[in-house]
Amino acid sequence: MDDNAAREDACREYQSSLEDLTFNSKPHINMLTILAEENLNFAKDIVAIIEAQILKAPATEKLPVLYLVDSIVKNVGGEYLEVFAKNLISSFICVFEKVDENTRKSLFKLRSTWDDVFPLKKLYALDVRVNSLDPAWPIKPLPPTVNASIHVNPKAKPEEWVPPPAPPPQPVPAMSQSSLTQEQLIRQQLLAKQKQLLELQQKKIELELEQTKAQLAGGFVLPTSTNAPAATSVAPKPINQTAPMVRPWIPPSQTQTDPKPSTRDPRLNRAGPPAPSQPKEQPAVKKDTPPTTGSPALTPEKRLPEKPTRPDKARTPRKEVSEDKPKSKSPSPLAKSVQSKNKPVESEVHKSVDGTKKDPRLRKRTQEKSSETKDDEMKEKKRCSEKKEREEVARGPEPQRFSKGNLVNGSVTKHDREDSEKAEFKTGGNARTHARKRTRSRSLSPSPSHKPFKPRRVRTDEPQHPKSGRDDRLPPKKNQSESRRSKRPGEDRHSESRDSHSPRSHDGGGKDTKEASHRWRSGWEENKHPKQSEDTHMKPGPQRHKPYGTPTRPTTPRTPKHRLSVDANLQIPEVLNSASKKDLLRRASKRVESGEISQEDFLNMAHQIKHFFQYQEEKQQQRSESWDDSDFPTKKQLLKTQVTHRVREWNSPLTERQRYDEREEQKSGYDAPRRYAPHLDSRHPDPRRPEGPPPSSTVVHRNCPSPVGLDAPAPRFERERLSPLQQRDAAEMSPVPRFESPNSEHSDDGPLNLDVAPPHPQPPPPPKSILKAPARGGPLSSVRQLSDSPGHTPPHDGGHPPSHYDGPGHIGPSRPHPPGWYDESPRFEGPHHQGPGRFDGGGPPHHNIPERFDGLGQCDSPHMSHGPIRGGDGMGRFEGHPQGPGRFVGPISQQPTGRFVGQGPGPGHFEGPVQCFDPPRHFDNMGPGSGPIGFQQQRPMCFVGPPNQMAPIRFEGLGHFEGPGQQGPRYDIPSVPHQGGPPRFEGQQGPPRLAPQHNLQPPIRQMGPMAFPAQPNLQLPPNFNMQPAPQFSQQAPAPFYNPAAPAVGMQQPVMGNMNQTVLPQNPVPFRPQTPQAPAENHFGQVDVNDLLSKLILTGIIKPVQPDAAPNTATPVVEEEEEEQEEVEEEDDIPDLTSFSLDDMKQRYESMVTKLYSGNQCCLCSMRFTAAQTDMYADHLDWHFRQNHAGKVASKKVTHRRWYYGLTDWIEFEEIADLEERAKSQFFEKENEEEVQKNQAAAKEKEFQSVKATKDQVRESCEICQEAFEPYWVEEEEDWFLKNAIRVDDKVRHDYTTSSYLDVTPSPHKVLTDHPLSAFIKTEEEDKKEENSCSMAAAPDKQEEQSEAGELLEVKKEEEQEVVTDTVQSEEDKV
Amino acid sequence: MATEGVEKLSEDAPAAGKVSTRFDLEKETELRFEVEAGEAAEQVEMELLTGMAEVFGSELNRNKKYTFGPGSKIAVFTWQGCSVNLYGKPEVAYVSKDTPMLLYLNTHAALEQMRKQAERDNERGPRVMVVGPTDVGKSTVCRLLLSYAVRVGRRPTLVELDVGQSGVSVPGTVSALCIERPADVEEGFSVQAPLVYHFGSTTPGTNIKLYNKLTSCLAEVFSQRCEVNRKASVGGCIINTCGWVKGSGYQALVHCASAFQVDVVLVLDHERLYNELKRDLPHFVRVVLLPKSGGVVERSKECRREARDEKIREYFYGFRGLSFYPFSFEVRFSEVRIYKIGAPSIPDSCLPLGMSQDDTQLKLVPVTPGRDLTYHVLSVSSAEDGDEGARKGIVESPVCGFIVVTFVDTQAQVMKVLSPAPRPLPRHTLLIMDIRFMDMK
Repeated sequence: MDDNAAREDACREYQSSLEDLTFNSKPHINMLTILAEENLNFAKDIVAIIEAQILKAPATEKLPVLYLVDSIVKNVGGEYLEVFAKNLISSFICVFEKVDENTRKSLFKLRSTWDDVFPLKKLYALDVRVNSLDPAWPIKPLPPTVNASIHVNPKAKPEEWVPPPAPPPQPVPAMSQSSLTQEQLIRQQLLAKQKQLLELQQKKIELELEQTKAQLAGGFVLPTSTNAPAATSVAPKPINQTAPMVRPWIPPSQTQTDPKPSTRDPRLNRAGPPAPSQPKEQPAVKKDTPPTTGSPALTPEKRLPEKPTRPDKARTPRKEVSEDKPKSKSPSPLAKSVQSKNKPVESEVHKSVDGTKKDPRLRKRTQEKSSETKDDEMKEKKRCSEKKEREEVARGPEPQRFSKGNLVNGSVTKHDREDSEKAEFKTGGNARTHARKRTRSRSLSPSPSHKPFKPRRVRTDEPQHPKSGRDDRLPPKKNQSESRRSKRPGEDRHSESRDSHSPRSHDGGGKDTKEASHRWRSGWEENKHPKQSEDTHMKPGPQRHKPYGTPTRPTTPRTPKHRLSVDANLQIPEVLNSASKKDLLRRASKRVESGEISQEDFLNMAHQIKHFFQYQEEKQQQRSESWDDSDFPTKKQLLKTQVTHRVREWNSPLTERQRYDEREEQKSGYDAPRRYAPHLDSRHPDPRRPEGPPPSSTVVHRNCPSPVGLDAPAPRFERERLSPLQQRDAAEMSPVPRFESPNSEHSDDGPLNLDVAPPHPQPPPPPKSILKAPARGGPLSSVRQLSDSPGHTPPHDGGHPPSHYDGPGHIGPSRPHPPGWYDESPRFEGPHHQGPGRFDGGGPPHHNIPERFDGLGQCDSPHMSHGPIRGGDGMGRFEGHPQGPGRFVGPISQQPTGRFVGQGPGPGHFEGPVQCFDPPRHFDNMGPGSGPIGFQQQRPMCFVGPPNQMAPIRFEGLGHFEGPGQQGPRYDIPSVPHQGGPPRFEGQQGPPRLAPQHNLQPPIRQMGPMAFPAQPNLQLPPNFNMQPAPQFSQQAPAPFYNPAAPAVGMQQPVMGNMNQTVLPQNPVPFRPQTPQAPAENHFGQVDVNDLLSKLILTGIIKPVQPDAAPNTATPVVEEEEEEQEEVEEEDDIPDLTSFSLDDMKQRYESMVTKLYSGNQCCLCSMRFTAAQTDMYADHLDWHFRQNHAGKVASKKVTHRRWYYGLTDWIEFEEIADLEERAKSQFFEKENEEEVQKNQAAAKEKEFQSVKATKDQVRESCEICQEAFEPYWVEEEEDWFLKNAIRVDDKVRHDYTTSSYLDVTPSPHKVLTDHPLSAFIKTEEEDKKEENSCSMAAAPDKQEEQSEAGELLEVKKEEEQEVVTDTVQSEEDKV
Repeated sequence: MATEGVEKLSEDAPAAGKVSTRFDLEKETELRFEVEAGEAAEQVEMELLTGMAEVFGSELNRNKKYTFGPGSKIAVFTWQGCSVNLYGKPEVAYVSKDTPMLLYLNTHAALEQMRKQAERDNERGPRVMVVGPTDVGKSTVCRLLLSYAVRVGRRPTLVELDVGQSGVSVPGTVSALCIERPADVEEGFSVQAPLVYHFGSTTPGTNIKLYNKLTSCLAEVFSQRCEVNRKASVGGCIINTCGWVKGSGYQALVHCASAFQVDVVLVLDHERLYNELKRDLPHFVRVVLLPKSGGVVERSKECRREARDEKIREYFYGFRGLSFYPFSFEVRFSEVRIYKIGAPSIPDSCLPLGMSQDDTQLKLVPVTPGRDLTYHVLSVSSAEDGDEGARKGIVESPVCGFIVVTFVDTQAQVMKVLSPAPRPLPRHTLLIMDIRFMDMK
């Protein structure tokens, strides 16, 4: 019984102590930990008490208890560990579901420190559970070997994890527990304030967004010629994006750049292939190569030569539309169409061609159209290989997607469409590419004149020249890598046609990037606002400029054109088409409301959408013709070149990796690039996976090429991103900087994460473990790589490629290369996917990290897709989508492409890409469709939702807000690129969308607007624009690189931390997100690039996700449904004007939605949409006036005014105005005389009045002892003494006044005269003071005056006498 | 009568002693509650806890307490589902699933489509007349439609022709009000700038000629505004009418429809009226029969009188008598000219030759100030002060505001008036109403 008694005592004691743990107090936790250690015998009881405390504690006090658990587990361990583990999940979930985002961040950090504490199974189950609550929560497949020191503060650990990236989060993870608590408190306070500020900013932004949304909504419905355009657009976009990235990178490491340039050249060559015949052949070769390594190599060579020329052409085409057009047309359309068609069915060549050119889309298309068969084949191959499982999964979704895509696109077969669209696509693609290029160049180089593709790039940024050189160099590298890849991929490709497709798309993107700044530009324009802006600067100066000028409010009209051009390439258009801007906005708003998406994300989305729409419009109007023509040729060339590169890459993934490594080495200084490379790699794999076997080979090659080409661009992007982030970090608050840095990092990570994530999804269990392991290793390795990156990466690449391809190998490669990258990538994934959830759930420290993640995630989506990633992603994704099950491929491909692009620039990146390729392959094996989908979904989710959401949520805290704001800008920048990408996609997809569904357009618009708004809103935007642009254009590269390098460093650490966390998260997110991925793919198809991804991620994400999910499950049907729903949202209301009861009895959700959309005024519940920002501002002003009036009311008498006159009423518009002119005309007229009198009187007062003090009110003249007459002066809001003058601090009557001059100051006279004059004066005053009289005073006076003048006088006299008497008596006394 | 989800949470009582009742509403249901009328009645506070809800078309802010005074009859409707807390003891509170809100919303949707059409075609927006007998929720439907319209960015105009229960100004007037923001949940529409015409009685029947005349005036002015203001034109107008739907009341409705050239007539819960209007109005006028809400409460004469009193009080003292401070001052008889519109009806046989009854209804009859003026509400006409010649425009001139005679001193030839604004009076032409107001509070 003693035991029982002791137990009871111990429990009671512990219970009481525990109840005091209401805040995060390190001492207290330590005490409780010691107490728990002392009562180790009663561990179960103690644990029960603690768990009960967790259950019953208020939400705000749960975290400290959880920290206690953490402390006990880590410091005491033993039995506690086991006991706590039993209910760990339920306890954790209990806390997680009740707490806010900041706390969730902390939770995330906390959980990230448990890898060494709790069984991995447990943690995995925990991740899964949490992920079910918050999709953003990353699931660690394999518990990464976390540094997580067992000791004490989770916070401290989080810091370790997050330290570099997440300054804001750090607060929680204070270095020492004690310090942590204080720091946390302070930081939390700061965060809270920052959140408030951010909230306010967000509201403004939201308003703007809403406005833009409204505009967009009002705007077009994108036609659906999505598939072909999407594909083309996608490819170009990635290329463009990647190219810029690469260039920036290249400049830093010229030596390495040389190879890179060669790679770039390959891309260019690829672009060169754009010549119709070449592109096709090349693609075919590539396709062949994927399965058969030999062929790819050949193709690459061809492509290489072509590419150099092509890039020039492409560049020139931008300037010279005609050239570009032919190039782009021939390559992109053909390639795409061919690829798509051939891939699924038979012709590997076609596949290769398609994949190479506009791989993603084409592949997707092909997959979608003829894809099923192809897919099946691919699947079969994959199945044969280890990847079979994955493939199956992927296939499931892919077929659906295909069907959806088919449906969306129309009944027309992909081939037909492709054929018909090819020309369009080509043109569109070219235009897109041009646009992208232009955008990039523009962005990079402030001067539009530089815009000429090559010249522009070079000119734009100092780095450009090096870049150009690098590009040239890169192409060779790419070729090599391609050859290597092709060899490697060959197997994979054969096994995984889908993968190859995706890779092709990616590759195409990469090629596009190099070859076609055009494509990039186009992609930018279409997808990303920045791109668009760049594009506009370059070609359609006005259009592009417009986006730039009004990043927040891109002109919707522009977008349509882009879309048209893009349509051919983009599959996304379908989704986009299906979803109108309004729909997208609505969805986004809903999500925001539901908390799925953060406000920031939402805003970003809106901006992007706006931009998209604008771009589309612009494209449609201006570009459609010229752009399309020019761009298409370039794109085609690019595609071809890309395809070849891809093939090569596939053949020799190792070589590619080596190249990457080399590049990385060259870039070694730039960790970011390296990271990008890995990311790219991962992305590449993704695309491959989605696309399937045929694409895989091609894709890989493409990816590789793209990476190569992209490497330069990608690095730039990364750098840019990084730089922005860094800049922001420096400039902004620590939280913000962190956010920014995270973003930059995220962007880098994003790709990596994506890469990692994809593998996980495909081979969920095994991959996860593998991935985790790699990821974990990755971070570490990444760090190493950062320092040694070149060396490390190459070996890894070499070793990994083969093995990796099939499965583990992927992870391995990715790990080695990316270490940094991987870390980043995992993080990205984490952020992307889990990011939102984590962010939300994460604790403060976690928050920082999460924020970073979000940022990263966002960045990734934006950066990746928009920036290097963007370019690549956009291309890749779009391509992937179009081609395959397209959507699946698309998403994956997009991301991969982005990554590839990023990687492409740096040698190291190539390695990364190689690795990435491997992952993709894995994905393919696992299940191309699922893998890609998962990635895409996750990415979109993470990107769109998480970034935005994250930002908003996290930002809610002051720090967060700032962070978001900063991020936002950063994001915006990224987004801008993305937007440009999306626009491109849109452009490509645009036509399809328009044709298929109007809804799609709205989404696009939203995307565009979102991105733009974000930029505008964010202060950073300018920076972003500058940076992104430069990056894109390559001009910025050098500067960016420098920034990027630091940023990279920052990111790397973060990445490392992130990776650990992210990796675990990734697996889960991927799975959940997988459905989303399809959606993303769809979007990607439509928008192809970043815009789509962003849209998907943010506003679109949800819509996309649903779409994706439907696609995967029942691709076609779901998509259609979604589209329909989207349509319905805007058009679901039949013509009710007949007031038929049958119709009237139906609930039309859109009506309700419309009533409840927009930001709600917190004071009056009125809602204001984005289009009503100004109104909202006015409205708030009105509230302010009202409140002010209310305050003033205490001083003044308020009364109802006389009604306004007839004319006033007829003319009046706003109440505010009315209030302003409260004095209506007739009043003024009537009062004219009075006014004059008042003025005259006022003059007298000015000279004769003295401000009365409290005791002076009844003061009498010092000379005559006569009381002063006090009166109220409205303007002064104080009492004055009439006819008084202050002399030597003494008040006396002003005897200069007539009454005193003329009248002798005899008391009698004074009494007689004064009352009269006073009365007169008072009457005047009354008139004057009508409006201002105080309640008490006015009535009194009035009554006195009006009721009985004589009596009044008498009274006054009496009063005066009394007063004087009293005064005199007082004086006497004195 | 779904009462599920209702649970007493006395512990949550925000204010001391107030009982908190939580209602969880499913989507498309509404919580109806009435606050006990009477001086001593306790106010009821309502708070939206979760979800989104609206009160007569005005969305609620979450976690904001809305206070409803005695006699309030409130319906909290939710399209998405919500939970609401009531603090205090409402006379009755229940959740209803059966509401015509969907029809009302779709009516708004249809009107919105017409507005869009008008926007496209550069035409005028829909002009809607809401008709029906008393106590069918006409005013509520108007408020709903107006709030919905303004919530989607329109600028509709409320034309208040219900002289008995004006929602805009004091009773005995017809008015038009530009709606720029949704009605305040507690206070209703902001009445900063209405256009008000003096009618003088609480029922159109006392001077149907004047009523129709004023209707035409309003229509004319509104048309002018539509010409000037495009948004107002597109926004159209919602016309609230009297509950008098028979005889000359019906004729007045038809006249109103023609004067405003209404496009849509919403008939609430009156099939006969619906069919009559459908028969008598041009074919292009869409006459729609809508059900009334089950939540509509029949108001007694006493209730109506109190509502009128409250409306006048609100004019002088502001909402709940808190926001405005009226002025009281004396006006000399010589300063003002007081008229009554419409001569007492006399047998035709007694009319001067050549005069018809109609003429007398619009005639300005000078009123000699006397003690019987006490407590009467006087409208201050915006007609320019002038000689007899200026009289003609007086009837058709809007009013600047209202004063109440609180005391008449026939010896001093002055009367003490309660005025919303300090002296002097903006105009000196006063129109006497039948309505009296005793400032008892």
